[in-house]
Amino acid sequence: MSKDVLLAVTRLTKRFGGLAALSELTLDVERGKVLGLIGPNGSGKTTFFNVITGLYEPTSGHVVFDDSPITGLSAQEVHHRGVSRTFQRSRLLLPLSIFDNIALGMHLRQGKGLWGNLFSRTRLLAQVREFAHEAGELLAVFDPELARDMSRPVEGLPMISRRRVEICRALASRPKLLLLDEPSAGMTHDETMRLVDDILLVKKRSDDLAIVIIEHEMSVMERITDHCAVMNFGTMICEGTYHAVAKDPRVQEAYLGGE
Amino acid sequence: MAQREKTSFVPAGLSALGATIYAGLLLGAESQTYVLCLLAAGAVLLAVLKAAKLFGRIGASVAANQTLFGAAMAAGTVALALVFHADPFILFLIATVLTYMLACLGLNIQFGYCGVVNFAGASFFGVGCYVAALLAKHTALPHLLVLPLAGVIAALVGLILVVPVLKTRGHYAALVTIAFALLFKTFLEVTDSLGGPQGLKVPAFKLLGWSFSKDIVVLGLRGNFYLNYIALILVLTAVGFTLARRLERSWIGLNMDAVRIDETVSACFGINITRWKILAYTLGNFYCGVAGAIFAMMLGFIAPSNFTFGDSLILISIIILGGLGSSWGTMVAACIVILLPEKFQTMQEYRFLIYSALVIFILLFRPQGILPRGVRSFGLEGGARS
Repeated sequence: MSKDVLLAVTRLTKRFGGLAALSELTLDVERGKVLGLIGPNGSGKTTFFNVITGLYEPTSGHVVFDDSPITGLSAQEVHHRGVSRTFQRSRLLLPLSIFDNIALGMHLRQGKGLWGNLFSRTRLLAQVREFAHEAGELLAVFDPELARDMSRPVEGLPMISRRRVEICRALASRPKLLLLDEPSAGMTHDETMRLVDDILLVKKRSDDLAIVIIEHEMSVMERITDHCAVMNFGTMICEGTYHAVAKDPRVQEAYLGGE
Repeated sequence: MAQREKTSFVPAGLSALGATIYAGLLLGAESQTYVLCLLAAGAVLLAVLKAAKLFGRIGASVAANQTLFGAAMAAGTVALALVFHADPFILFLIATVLTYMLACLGLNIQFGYCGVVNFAGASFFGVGCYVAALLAKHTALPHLLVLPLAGVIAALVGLILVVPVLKTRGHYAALVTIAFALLFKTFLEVTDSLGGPQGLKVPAFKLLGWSFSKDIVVLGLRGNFYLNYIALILVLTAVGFTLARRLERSWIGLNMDAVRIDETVSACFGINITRWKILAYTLGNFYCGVAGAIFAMMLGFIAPSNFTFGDSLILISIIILGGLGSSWGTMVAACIVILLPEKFQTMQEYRFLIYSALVIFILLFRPQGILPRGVRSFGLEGGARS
């Protein structure tokens, strides 16, 4: 097999009552590649993310990540395996500082013992400094101005800065797979283009990282994806490179409505 | 870093001094007109400080000199206790305020940090009281050990509720704890071995053979026995405060905040939500239990009517009034909630009316509490700047 598959999804189904949000979806994500998920609203893209990340339990089907099954694992366990995500509506911890938000992504590397946290302040603060340095470097790649003072609460930041912090939070966990759910939502065209540059930068920094991106902005897909999959009614209707997919009549039909 | 070191302690120190003097005047005030004048003067003073934009400077000064400010406030409390060394009622009030502070710091860890609602604070306080009564009466355990043990048992009793508290949220969790508060009081009333509705006598606290219920005589000066308790509770509260602050400024504090703000995101970043909720809940009940134990030994007598749902509401109202998650806010609110009704005592039945109106008034103008919590930090010099 020439393909190096990181995430293998087989006949994944998720039903909400009578509605099949995902039906028998089969899909592979290759290591180090960017996969774009295209499809009209309600076609099951976000449900797919929620099932993969363990927020929803699948009705049937299998998910194999990095050669081990993760079907039905909790969100916490899936993250431990190396999956991080962003959310369609930016879900930062608004009252907390920029640093705290990014530090959430470093959760697995933080000391969790009560004793260490309460009584060895020197060691704790040394770790905080180390992580603050790391977070600052990561954030500065996207926006040096934002990284200058990370003690500001995120609630005061404009949307593009929030998106950047959110992507940094996901990257801070050093994931193998990054799921981006409509990163351009709520942004202007210029901001979206800058965000695309950011994502390309992320790709350049780590060869191994695989990204799945949901996006309605087709110019984004054209620029950053290696491969696209088109979904409709919870299943994949076609896949291929962006240009191949864009020309496919089934895709036109899904978006414009067919007979 | 250099910038922080230059922040002078003077504004914070002056505030600590001012707060001490004001509290002293209020504690000593006897006539109703005097109390009202003092409250009015306090309001005017705050308005003047606000108009002169001094709050920012005071806040920065306190933030930069946390330990020193805490020490100054503790010293202020000691000074007040010494000034009123012969007045049992005022000393009792001071000790009560300190005890409530300790219990509320615990509730603040639960509700303010981790978002775990607990409307049965007074019940866990009560568990501490009864454990202290039983252990002090029937065992030879050193009393200094009785205190943490009472906390541990309060925390263990709390674990009865852990499943519903973890599985329910918001109003439902509130209801579960309210039900527990009612159950607890009924349980005490019908259990004869715990004294039933008549309650129990509690032996006084003893430290190395020295009974805390005896007046202190130093160089011919007689100090009321409450001074003993004030000293002990002050130490407990100071330790409780320091630990709560450290918790807030650690990775655990970050995890608890994340759990409170967004459980879904927390789970997606690998946070074990159950673990932190149980820790917050257990720690909070431990605080309540310890506070209850020392309070029972100071009172010398406890009865189920001390641990009603209404008392739990008072505890919750303290942390909300102070500003959820704000440790200093809890301190200030505890003073207001305990002292004001006592100071309006001669107005008899109107005192709770006036006090309640005041609380509503404060929350109307400051829904975020008297001293809202600032942005969480690790307390690093210079913050997390890179």
